[in-house]
Amino acid sequence: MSPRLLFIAVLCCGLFVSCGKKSGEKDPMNETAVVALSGDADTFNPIVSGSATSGDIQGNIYPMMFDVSFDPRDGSLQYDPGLVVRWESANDGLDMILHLRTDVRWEDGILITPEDIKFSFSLYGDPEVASPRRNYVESMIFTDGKFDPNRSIEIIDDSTMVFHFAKRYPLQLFHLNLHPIPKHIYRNADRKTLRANPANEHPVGAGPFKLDEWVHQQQIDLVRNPTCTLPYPAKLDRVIFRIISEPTTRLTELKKGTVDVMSPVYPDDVKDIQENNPNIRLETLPPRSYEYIGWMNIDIEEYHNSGKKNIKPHPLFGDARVRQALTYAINRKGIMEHELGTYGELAVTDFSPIFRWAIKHDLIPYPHDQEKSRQLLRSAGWSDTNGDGILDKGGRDFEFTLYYNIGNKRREYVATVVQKELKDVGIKVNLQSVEPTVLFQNIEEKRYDAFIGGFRVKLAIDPSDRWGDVSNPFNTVGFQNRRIGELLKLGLHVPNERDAGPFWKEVQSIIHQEQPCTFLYWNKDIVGVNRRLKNTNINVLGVSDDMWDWQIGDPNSYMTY
Amino acid sequence: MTRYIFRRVMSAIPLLFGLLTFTFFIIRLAPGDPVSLYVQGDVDPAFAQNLRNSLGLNDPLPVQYVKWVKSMLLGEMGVSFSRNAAVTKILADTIPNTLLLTVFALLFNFLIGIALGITTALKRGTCTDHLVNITSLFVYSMPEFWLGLMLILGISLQLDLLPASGMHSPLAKYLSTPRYLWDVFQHMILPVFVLGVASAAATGRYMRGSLLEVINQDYVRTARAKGLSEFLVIGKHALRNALIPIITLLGLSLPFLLGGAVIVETVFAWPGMGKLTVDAIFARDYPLIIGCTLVSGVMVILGNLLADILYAIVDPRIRYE
Amino acid sequence: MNDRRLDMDGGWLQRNIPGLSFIARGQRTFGWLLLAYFLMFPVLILANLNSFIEGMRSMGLSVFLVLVDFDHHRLFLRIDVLEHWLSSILVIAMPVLLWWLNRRRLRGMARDSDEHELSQWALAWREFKKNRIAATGLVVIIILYTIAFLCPYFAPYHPNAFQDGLVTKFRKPLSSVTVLHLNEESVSSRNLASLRMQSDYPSLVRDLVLINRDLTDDGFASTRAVDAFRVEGAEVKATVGDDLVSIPISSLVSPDPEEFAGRRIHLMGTDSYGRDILSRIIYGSRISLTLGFVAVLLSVTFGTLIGLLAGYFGRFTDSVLMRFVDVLLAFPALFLILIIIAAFETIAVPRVVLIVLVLGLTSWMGISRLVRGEVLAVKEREFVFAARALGLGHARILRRHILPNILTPIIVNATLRIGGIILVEAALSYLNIGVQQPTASWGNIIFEGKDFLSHAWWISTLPGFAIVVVVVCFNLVGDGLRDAFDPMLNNERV
Repeated sequence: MSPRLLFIAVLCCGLFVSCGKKSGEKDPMNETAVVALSGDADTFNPIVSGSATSGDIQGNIYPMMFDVSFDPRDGSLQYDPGLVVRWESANDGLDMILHLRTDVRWEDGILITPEDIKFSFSLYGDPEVASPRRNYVESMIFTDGKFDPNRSIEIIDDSTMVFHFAKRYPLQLFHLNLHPIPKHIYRNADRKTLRANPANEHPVGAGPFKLDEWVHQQQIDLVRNPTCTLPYPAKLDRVIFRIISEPTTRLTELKKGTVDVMSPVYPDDVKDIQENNPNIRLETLPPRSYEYIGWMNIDIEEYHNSGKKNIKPHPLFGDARVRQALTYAINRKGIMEHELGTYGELAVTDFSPIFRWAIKHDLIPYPHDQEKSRQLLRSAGWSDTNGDGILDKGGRDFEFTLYYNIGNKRREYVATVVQKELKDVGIKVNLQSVEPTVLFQNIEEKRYDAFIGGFRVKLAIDPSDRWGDVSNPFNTVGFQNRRIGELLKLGLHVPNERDAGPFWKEVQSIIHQEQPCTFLYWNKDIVGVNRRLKNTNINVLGVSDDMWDWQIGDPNSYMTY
Repeated sequence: MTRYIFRRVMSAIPLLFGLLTFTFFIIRLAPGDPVSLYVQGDVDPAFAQNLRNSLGLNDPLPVQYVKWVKSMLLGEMGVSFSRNAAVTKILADTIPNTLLLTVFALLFNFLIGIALGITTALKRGTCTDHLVNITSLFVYSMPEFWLGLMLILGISLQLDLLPASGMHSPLAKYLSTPRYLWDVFQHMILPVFVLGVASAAATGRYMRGSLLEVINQDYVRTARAKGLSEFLVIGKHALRNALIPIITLLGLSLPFLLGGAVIVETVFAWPGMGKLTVDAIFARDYPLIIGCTLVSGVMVILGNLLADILYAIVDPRIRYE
Repeated sequence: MNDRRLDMDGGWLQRNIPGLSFIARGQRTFGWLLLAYFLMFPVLILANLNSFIEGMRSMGLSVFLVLVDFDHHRLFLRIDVLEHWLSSILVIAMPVLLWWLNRRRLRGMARDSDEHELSQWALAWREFKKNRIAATGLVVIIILYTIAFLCPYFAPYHPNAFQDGLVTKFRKPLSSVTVLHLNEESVSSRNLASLRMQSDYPSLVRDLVLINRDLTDDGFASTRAVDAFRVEGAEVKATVGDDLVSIPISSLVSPDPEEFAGRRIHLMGTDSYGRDILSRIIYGSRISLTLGFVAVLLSVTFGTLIGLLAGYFGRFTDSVLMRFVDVLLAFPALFLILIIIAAFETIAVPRVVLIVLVLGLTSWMGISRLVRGEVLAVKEREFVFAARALGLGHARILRRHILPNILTPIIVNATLRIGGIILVEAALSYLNIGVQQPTASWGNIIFEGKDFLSHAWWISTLPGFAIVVVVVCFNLVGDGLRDAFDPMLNNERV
């Protein structure tokens, strides 16, 4: 482009900009919704995908075994027919017989058969594939320590298959609800490089939408899948997901009306939106993730150097009284109100308030009480013997480094407040922010004495990850308790989910008493939705759950240039 | 000339290799685990170990290096951990976006910069001169992300003149070609402005100095003395010589622009190399980091080469043998 | 000539108060500025007399205790107190230094009054002073650095102090917060009952600990910020956000609302924590300005060294060093910085130090190229040949003959770079690897506020403005220096 042309172009720009919007002709945006996301999908192969974005969008592309919904009044998952029409438990709960629909086709017209499902499960369970959901098949049949698809999955005929489990437990349906992928496409795929298989770029599914185009880092276009019969065809022609990582930019797009759905909206922006943007409706999601301050329960040096049984307690946080004292010393309610306003709920244990039936309601959250905190620390042997303002015991000062991930402003605030409030009871806290990769790795490998972490819970109760074996990477604080071990065995092997209620309540009492970590609060994510979009059912399963039902209420309301 | 270019390109190869080796080791020495980003929520606890095995991250470093050199010699860049796609494909998708942004930013930079430089040099000492100087200094001194966000809030949200982010409207691919170009152009205005304006200010100041120096040279005085019009004197005699140092700037401003692109791309959700590189570094996506380093290295070296060639064109005294 | 004589005899006042002699000689602006600057220090001391005296006491006691009882130094030697001492020393040292310089100058003038040979530096200085804009830039920079080093004397509040964030966050500039003052007993953190000193001088240590505590205490803990309040019997009913809290009057300093309630004024508003932005900008200037200065010092030193070696020794040394420079230059600086910070972030140094090191060690390439070029030119001049013929060592030739002759472009370049480094620090903050909170730097204040730009513009905008001012000033000074050192342009101006 020559300079002169550019000059003319710049001139034109000035003229055209003022002309503004197009009018007349039918606008395709009347049948299109735009969703803003903070991060891109990593792949659309449900076997290997790990990002939240992928998980959200995949549900609309791939067929689902069951149509799952979460009943908030009741606090548990409901399974309705999907690919599976009918299911029954047999052989004393060890077998699950599934009756499948025989009329569902992949996008390319080929029928979905039990073979597809068996093939998919064999991939989920193969350690070479390294699926993040490999643990879903953990309770099926294993041969020589490896998942054995042939013994676990039996195909009776085109519409019937049987899954064999090694034990009876309430999460069987939950674990069967994995997306199948088409066998005829992936049959010869190399398992080790499945995550980079070129076919992943063009996923073939059977859901209400299909992938039209995926421009990495930029946008993901879903269009209606006209052949979908599972569960319902989409009402909108098209849903576009745009990747905008800068929060201010994302919010601007929502306010301008160029984005219809945006998540998350920060609580600090709520007032501004409510006052100035009547075209935006804010929806609150039930609490599914919590923040906590992890106190390492065990001596990490010994944990890393020696055998992993009966490790001695951590010199600072090994004593439950100390951990209680720390919880007392921190004004959790103040932190929550400051950060989340009314969009948070004080966390008592790691059992989400959404599981109403399993929550022990009579546990009283530790109040902010510095006097009580000092008293507990004194009784655990910590006092300021040398007068430097920092507690000490046996020559060791109560001083530690608190790690959190860099750039997470909420945790930065928590860290700053914790540092300040613990100073008041005589504990010196050093702050260190590190990159997320570094933080997560070190937390999972138990290399930090104290850190701020967060956790997003599954929709079925399974405390075994967090409080099970010490070597489990999600038991981030190295908590060990014999009674909880027993309760886990009991609770996870009842025939019916609800029967585990009493066990889970006891687990909560123990956790509350022992305070393996200081639970801060549950977040209620806020989703901003443009009012032109109707029938959204934004729920705990994610922003794009039931996306097939979305409709544009008010035509010609999309902003264009 | 051709031989010169060939020699320059050849000598760049060991340079690039050194650059990549440096990157290879330093990024692997960095703490942090590429796999750990995925291990959260309801993920299989053994997942990290399985994935590390399948990505070959458990091999000793020298083994990984040898493997890497081998695959580089075969022209394979490997597969990105975080994006699950071939690095070459990711780069091929991303480079055009960045080129679009940087080329226009460069154009903006030099056209506006040179124009400002000429204006201020000719009106030296006047109010215009001071005003332009101070304004350009102010613009030059603003943190890019802050300027970008302010423009988004001001021009895009409050005045509603331009789109806030992205490369084009969501459905732009169905527009007719002129409309599509128009759409992309509108989306480009703010990011190109933010990316180019600081360097334009700098270029303007250089240009001013350079032109002032030339104007006082004997041959310009001679030209004036001959009675040539001021326009001819400046346009034909002075400008050509004053441009020579500016051309060096052109080559040097490429890495600068690439660096600035990181921030502009994040603020304006522009899917380019800068953001790709930063994301790759934070995700410890080793193959992608190497790929990005290669691209930026090549761009910088090409930029320098381009500057040298332009040198020869503008200044006939320079001959490359 | 007569003027100068007059100067010398200008009397005691002119000799001892910097600035007066300039005013007397007709350099009014400069003289008044200098005078005001000189007088600012005593005013500062008077305005903060209490904390100044406490700081001095703390320093004296500490020095004594370190000498006699080193084993227990951990009880009272603390970094944040050291910072206070530094400011206290500076607030005394700066006027003394000015005074001494003034004396020396006047005495020197008396001695050399007949000498007309001015050094290159003096000539440049004279040129520089003529350049109004550049001189203004220099004045602003000096003022900012003074504020940075004396930040406890300028900042209205402690930069990290916040309390009752619900009430205090996102306050607009020029707004104020109502606070209730609590009495000593009800502030639990102040309870020192359990203090038992294990030292040979327990009472002295106890005094020192108390002084230090007062010095570093932000004073916020003894207050309660409220939106509004009213007295009801023996209680104060206060609204805090959406809540109504009652505070017993007995826990306040006095039962009189006039005395127990106060206002905290925030000239530049507060951030999302409720911290005072003015104080954070003042304390942040210390980090940002030192960071810029030290990083440039590092890069200039390193770059000059490499450039000198490459240019002077030539051949093999030259090509090795310059290839290395080429490799590093082929990296966009920001990527290089990111990778290096990522590689070393877990090493146990504060992130500020790491950033300074990395910024310093990734920006020297340009300088070394520049220096190399200059050296190549100077190396061929007669005086270098002469020095060589005399058999002088390489080190001496480099130091005494080459370096002084290439210093000008280096200084100009360095000045222009400082602004750039401050901008890079802001960019690093945006990429999440800036200075670690709660320490304030301009970059991280802007970053802290950028998500709230749409409803709390001041958090990001005000420190952004500070950056603009500093970068502009450094550039003006750099340009001014270049013009001053460049004889051709000087002639032209005459």
